[in-house]
Formats: sequence, C-alpha cells, structure tokens
Amino acid sequence: MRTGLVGVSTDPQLAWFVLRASGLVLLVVYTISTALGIASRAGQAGRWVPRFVSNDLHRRISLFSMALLFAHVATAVLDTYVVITWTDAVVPFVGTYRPQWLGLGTLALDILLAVVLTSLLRHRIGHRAWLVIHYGTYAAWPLMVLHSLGTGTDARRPSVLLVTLGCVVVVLLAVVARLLDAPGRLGAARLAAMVSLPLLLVGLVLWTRQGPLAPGWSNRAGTPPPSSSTGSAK
Amino acid sequence: MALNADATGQWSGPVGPRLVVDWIKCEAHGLCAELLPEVVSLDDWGYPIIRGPVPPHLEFLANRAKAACPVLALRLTRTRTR
Amino acid sequence: MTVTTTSAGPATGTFTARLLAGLPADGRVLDIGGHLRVHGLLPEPRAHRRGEPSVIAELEAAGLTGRGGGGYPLAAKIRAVRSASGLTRRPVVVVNGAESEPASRKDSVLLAKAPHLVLDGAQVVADAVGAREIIVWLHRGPGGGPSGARTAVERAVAERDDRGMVRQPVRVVDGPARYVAGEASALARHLSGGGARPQTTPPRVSERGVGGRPTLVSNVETLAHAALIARHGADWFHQVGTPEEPGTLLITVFGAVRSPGVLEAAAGTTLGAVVHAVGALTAPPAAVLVGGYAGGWLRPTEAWPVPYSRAGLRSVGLAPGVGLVGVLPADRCVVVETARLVGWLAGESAGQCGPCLNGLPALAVGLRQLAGEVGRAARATELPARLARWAGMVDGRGACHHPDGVAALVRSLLSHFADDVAAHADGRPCDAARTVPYLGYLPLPAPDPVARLDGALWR
Repeated sequence: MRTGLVGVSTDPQLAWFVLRASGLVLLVVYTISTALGIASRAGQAGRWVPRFVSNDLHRRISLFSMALLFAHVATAVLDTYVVITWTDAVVPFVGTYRPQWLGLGTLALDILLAVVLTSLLRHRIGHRAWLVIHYGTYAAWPLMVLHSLGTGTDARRPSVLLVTLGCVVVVLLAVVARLLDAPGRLGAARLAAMVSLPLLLVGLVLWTRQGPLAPGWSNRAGTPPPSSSTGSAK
Repeated sequence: MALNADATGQWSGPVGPRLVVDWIKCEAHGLCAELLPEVVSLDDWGYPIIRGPVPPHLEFLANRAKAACPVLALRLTRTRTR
Repeated sequence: MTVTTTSAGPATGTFTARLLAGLPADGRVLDIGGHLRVHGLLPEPRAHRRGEPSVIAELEAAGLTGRGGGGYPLAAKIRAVRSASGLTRRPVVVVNGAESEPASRKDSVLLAKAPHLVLDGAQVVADAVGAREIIVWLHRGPGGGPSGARTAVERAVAERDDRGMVRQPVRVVDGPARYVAGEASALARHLSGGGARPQTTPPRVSERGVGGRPTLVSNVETLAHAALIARHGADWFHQVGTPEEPGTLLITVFGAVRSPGVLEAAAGTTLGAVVHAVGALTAPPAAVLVGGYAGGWLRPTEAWPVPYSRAGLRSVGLAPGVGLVGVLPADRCVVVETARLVGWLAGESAGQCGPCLNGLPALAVGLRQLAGEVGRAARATELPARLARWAGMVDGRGACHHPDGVAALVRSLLSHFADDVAAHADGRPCDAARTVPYLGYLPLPAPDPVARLDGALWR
C-alpha cells in the first residue's frame, strides 16, 4: 500500500481512507481529551487516577492530536478528487465542497488552534485569559461531531454510527457527572442544564436520521459534481 | 504549617528554593502534592502544606509541579524570607 | 471614651503625654491654633543627606515602627516606596485610620482629638517619598453615620487650607467597615476601584498599590510619632521607652477597669501599670486580652509584670498587635469569649483562601462545642488537640494575616488556660458557661448589612 502525502494526492481511494480514518480517530481522541478536561474538577484528589496523570494525559493527547489534525487537513487539501484549498482549511464556509459542513470542521480547527496556542503560553498570559479561550472547547467538540456527520460519506455504516454515538454519550456523561458533582446546591440552572442534555442527544439522533442518514444527503449537503471522470462512486 | 518560621515570620532554616503558594488562586486541585509528596502534603480541606525548602535533587519535580498547577498558583523562589 | 495621659500612683514605667499632649480638658479637638502652641511649627524639609531627605535617617535612628499591628520600621517602608517610584510612577500616601479592631479606640481618639499631628506626619512622609497626594482612609462610624474622626479630619484640613499649610491635597475616603478592609493591600485595591479584599503579596503595596503606583500605607499613630520626630529628633524619641523599642504607644484599656479609655505609655510599661493608670480593677480578673481580638490571652497574675513591648510579650508567646489591654472579669468565661471572638472573626474572612475560609469556621464551631454548646452533653476530650491542630493549619496560610491572628488567639487560650480548657473538654464548664444564651462580655460590632468587601453596595 502506498503511503505518504504523494500517494494520497495521486490515489483518491487512499486519500478517502486516510481522511475518513483520521477523522474518526480524531473524533475519538478529542472525545477522550474533552472528557478528561471536564473531569478535572477542583477540590478533589483523583479518585482512580492521580490528578497529575489525568491532567498530563489531557495535555499530551490534545497536543498529539494537532499533528493528526494537520495530517487530516493536509490529506483533504492534497486529494485531487475533491477541491478543498488551504484557505478552506482555516477560513470557514468559503469552500465549494459541502461548505457548511466542512466549515464547521474549519471553525473547530480555528478554535482548537487558539486553545493550543494559549495553553502553550499559559504562564505568560495568566490563568483567567487562558480559561476564557479554553471554554471554546465546549463549542469545538460539538462542531467536530456535526462536521463528521455532515461530511463523512460513510455515515450510514453501523460501525461509524456506533463510534459517533459512543463519543457523544461519553461527553454527555462527563458533563452530567460534573454538574452533579459541582459544589453548592443543585440549583435551577444546573438542573435545567442536566435535563437539556438528553434532549440534545435525542435531537441529534432525530436530525441525523432525516439528514445524513436519509437518501440524497450528498446533494443536499452541497457536494459539487465530480471534477474528473476517473473518480469511483463514493 | 510555618515550619522553621517564628512568630514574626522570619525563615530560619536551610536555604534552598521554596515553593510558594498563591492562596487566593489555589483551588485545592492537589496535583502539587501528588507530584512532590516529599515537600507538599494536603491539609484537612485539600490545600497544600509546604513543609520546607525543596531539596536540590527534587528541584525538577518542583518545576513540574509549578507547571502542572491548573490555576498557576505556585511559585518557585530562591529567597530565604517568607 | 476618656483619654488618660498620666498615672496617679506608683507604677513601673512612665506615662508621658506626647501624642496626647495639650489636649483641651473639656474633650474638644485640639485645633490648629492649639496644635501650633503645643507642638510648634513643622520644620521645613531639610537638605538631602546621602541622596535622600534627611528626615528618613532621623526616623531610622529613632527606630519608629508601625503602630497598626505590623510593627514594620517606617524608614524602611519609606525607602521601599522611594525606590519603586519614578517620574511616571508617582507615589501615594495613605493614612490608615481604619481601626477595624472592634475594641480599639486609639486611632479614632487620636484623629478626633489631635488630627493636626496626624496630618503633619502625613506631610512629613509625603515629602519624604515625593508623593503629591494624601488619602485618609477611615471606616464608617457606628450607626452608619460619619465617625467623629471624619469630621475632625475634614475640619483640620480646612483649617490648614485657610492658613496655606496644605502642601499635598488631602482626600478623605470612607472604606467598608469590615475587619480585613483595613489591610494595606485591601484598601489599596478598593482605592483602585476593586473590592476591599486583601491581595497576594508580592508585589507589596509599596511597589504596586493604589492605581498600580507605589503606596505608603501607615497607621495614624505611627504618622503622629513621625510628626514629633521631625520636630524634636531621634534622640528625643529615645528619651522614653526601652533601648530596643523606644518611644511611646497608645493603648486602649477596657473591660473591668474603673476608667476605660486610651492612654499613652512608654514602650516597656508593664501591663499592671497600664491597668493601674486607668483606675485599677472593678472586679477580680479572669483573663487579660492583649493586642487585639486577634491577639492573645494571659492569666492575670502572669500578665501584670509583662512589659508592653515586642520583646516582653514574646517572652509569654504573644505579639503587641495594636495597643490594647482588655480585662475579663471573673464572672465571665474565657472559653465563651474566645468562641464569640473566633465566630465573629471567621465571619470577617474575605473568603478568598481555602485554609482561612475552611479553618476559621471549623475553629469557631469547635470552640463553641468546647464552651459547652447547648445540647451537647458528651465529653469532648479530643477537642483541644483538634483545635491546636487547626490553629497550626491556618497559621500563615493565607493572602493576609487574618488567619494568623485567629491562630494566635486560640493557641494562647490553649496554652495559658489549659486547665479551664481541660475542664470544659471534660464536661465541667465554668458557671458563666452554663447560662444560656451565653453571657458575652467583649464588644462585637453588629454585622453591617451594607458594607460589603466587593464594594458593590458601597459608594
């Protein structure tokens, strides 16, 4: 099997494999990272794992993911079957291939870049500034999920659906655990947040069924007609 | 506990780098005590007790603890006074 | 509040009127005319010596230390502010008249009776650091209205203005009447637009204080001494007091004494002489409180020979704090009083630091149990050990010294009144602790619903 970016740019099948595989792995990895981040609560020693381990793991996983993210984006750009430019990789919603759904991924990338940069410079910018940007991950992760469902051309595969659902459930559980565990009384705001989470999950499932899972999604998502006649049906 | 510090706060022990806690920032995450139990233990409420100066062979761990603190509440200082 | 300046009988130590000299007998304020008659004009700042105003060396030779509880040498503080100042970082002088110690009256008496001395001192240090602004920081008086001190200060400033004596503009600020709001970094933060909560130091206020500028915060009594040293010199200052701790200090004496009030005594005067000077006791004493509510207790018999000085009090495990001596009569319980004080002090925490926020209420609850809280019939023999442990756990572990003071108070109870503590822990409280509600003796301010540290309701 030919590997490397050269191979990716000349073999559309390989490119598609690498793109989809890296995307799925990224979704799983960022799910783990997000869950670890949500789980790092103040005032408690790590129950099963020492705090510095989960904290360090969170940081290393996130940093490593940037490399994988670069490979994911580079594959998409270099692949000749679909036209995606480097601009589309950093500026959201301007591309020709499924602009909204690709754009969500681009937006997530922009947020993650800011998060990683501020985290590396944490000691210089101080805790408060770092924290505000870091809350952006609560936006970046759902964007990632929607991007995966919207652009992933094999979303109908049961295995892929299972992985996606698993990721969503893990993060929702982490958020619920955090809401339950937070200090102070269980106020109305927190209860409302906890109740809304399963509703969000239901909403996501319903939308997926009539969106990416329903026939004709490729057209509705904005896939442009193929640019070359050598491409096989996806 | 103010180890080796008398009522006026003067430090009178061995000189060495000292981990200093910013008490306003500290939120009792406890990573420092996990990473450097030889110098840091936790009180009844989860806040760090710095038991003395950092021994030279553990200075790299003290730096690690300082970097690991989620709220940047630790400083490593070389001065003798509190 | 009576003001006493001399002792009537045999005493160890001298009661020299310096700060309180020449006050009108009818209790009115010493106005500018009277002030100039008693003390004379403040001399013009003399030439520099070794690159700094010569008054700094004079203050250093005099050995003047802070009278607000910290005991920091004034000359060193002035130098620190000077070295942090520059053309674009003009320093500020803050006259700290907060006096958040509930039983202390020395600062408000000084401001209400001899404001010109304090303003002179502020001018001396303002000249020394090159400040162009003086702020007088006061806490709102009881009952919500302006305190007598504020009126006196404002009138004094107006008098000086009329005579063209104001060199730096003086601004009077009402701070929130909370215990920790009088701490240097807390008041600096309030004056910079934030809430009056203590900040982590470094950087100290002498480096970055009001509006980020170098700030000299000094207690009113310290400044009054500085005003006299500028006139009479360091040698004069050494004429009373001890060699290590020269000069006089103002002491508030209250409790079971005949004439509670503020007196001026030479450093090193014994506690017995101090109490004698206010007319001696009205009842057999149970305990003596020294230095403030965040100070410490002594048994009366061991208290009387102790000199009121850093060295003297250190020998019995205490610190001078703010000059304060309170006598608890024998029909009251020292454990009950400590429980009340710590309960109040716990409520005065700014709530920013974990050990203080958690530890002070734990100490308060433990002390109430020790006092013999209603409903608790069981013995609690491990309570004293637990209290000692918590005291050690809060000491020195906060952004300010609030928890340190509470720790000192609790430790003094455990060490000097070990028998009483043991009896209480054994289920045998004293008579005063058996009546319910507990007979409180030491005055505690009613919680002020308006004054909040975050400044939101404070104008």
